[in-house]
Amino acid sequence: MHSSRRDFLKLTGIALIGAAVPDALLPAGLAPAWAGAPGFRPDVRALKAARWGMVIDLAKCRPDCTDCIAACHAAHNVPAFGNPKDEIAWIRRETFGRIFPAQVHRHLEPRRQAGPVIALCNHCANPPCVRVCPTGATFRRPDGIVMMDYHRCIGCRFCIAACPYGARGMNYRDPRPFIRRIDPGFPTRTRGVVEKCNFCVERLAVGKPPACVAACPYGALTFGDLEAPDSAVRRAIAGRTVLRRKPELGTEPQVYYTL
Amino acid sequence: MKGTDRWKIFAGLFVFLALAALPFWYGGWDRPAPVLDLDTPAIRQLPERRCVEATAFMRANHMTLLADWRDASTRDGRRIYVARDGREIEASLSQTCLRCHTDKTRFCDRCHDDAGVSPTCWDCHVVPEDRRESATVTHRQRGEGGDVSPFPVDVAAREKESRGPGPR
Repeated sequence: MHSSRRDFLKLTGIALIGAAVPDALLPAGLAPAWAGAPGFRPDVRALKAARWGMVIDLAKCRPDCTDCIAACHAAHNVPAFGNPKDEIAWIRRETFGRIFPAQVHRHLEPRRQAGPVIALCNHCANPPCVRVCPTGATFRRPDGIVMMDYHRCIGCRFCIAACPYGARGMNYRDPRPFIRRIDPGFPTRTRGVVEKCNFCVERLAVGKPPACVAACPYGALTFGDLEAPDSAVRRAIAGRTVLRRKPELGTEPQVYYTL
Repeated sequence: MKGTDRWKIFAGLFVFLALAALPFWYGGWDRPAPVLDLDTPAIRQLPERRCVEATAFMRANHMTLLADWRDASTRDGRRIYVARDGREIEASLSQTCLRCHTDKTRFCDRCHDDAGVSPTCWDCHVVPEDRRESATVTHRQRGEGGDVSPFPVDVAAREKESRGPGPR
């Protein structure tokens, strides 16, 4: 068949218009096999919030207890490399003086300064880690959880540099040999990805509170919707003096500490 | 063109084609398709031997399906997959797929090895042999998550009472 340049250009234009038509508009016979049929929906058991947040009551936290850390790290297969340089912790116990250095003064009682403070990802409303992530692996969900999609992490560690709270850790080696007991309910990570606290999205999705909150024997951790005036977290901070980590940076941390 | 040159060209072409087709010579022309082991206890107990979608679809499109599962559950938080026949299934590689296909080496690897592909799913997602090796904790043993139904006891049946009206 002889076809002129003019015919070819015409055909190209028609094909481009055809490609622009959304699948949904096509008659059933022409639609691709994938269009239309199956779909996804959230689990009805899922807990929902306009803005998830956590309140940590420092008066209730005991220095001899690490139940929240153990529960979190067991539930999420967090590796223990046994080397402070490579440490990965989704939630850690620090001292008051290290977490709130601006609150330290000459007359602060040493006992208070060395008191335990639980530190985890602040799930900032203005998260610098999300802004610097070049692949969109770290993103903020509509309910405020700053989450990592490990499928997309390329291990560039910009987020580690951007996070003012040291909430992130990098898997410099294959983490599997360093996980004491692999819980099959949650994936491990692989070499070359960053990881951090996810506010237990996988537990919220099936109607359960975060593992650390459920594990705390003293009720020091409260979790809930910061936008709901009658929520547990709002009641926990009502009328209390509240500290947040480095609020002057403008990251709007959503983990609140009550004294 | 002289006759002798033509002979040389065709000889060269023949040698080139023979070399280019080396994978076919090497692998054989009519290699049998890999045999998948579908005889696991979980599959034997199924009321109907049907995967998430029809077998032909799964064979051709499981990777696309899994990528859609990944994006829907991780990025959008929509973790229940509504299949073409209306069943509602937890969109999870390790909680759904591996519940039935318990032995990765006798199912997944057979085709992947044959096709020479090495998906990186298993770098993170826990496969049953890893569970046997190093894991003794399961959700059920810890007394939590026992309500997470193993496929194919579909989520729809469990949630029928609790689901309100509205779009899926």
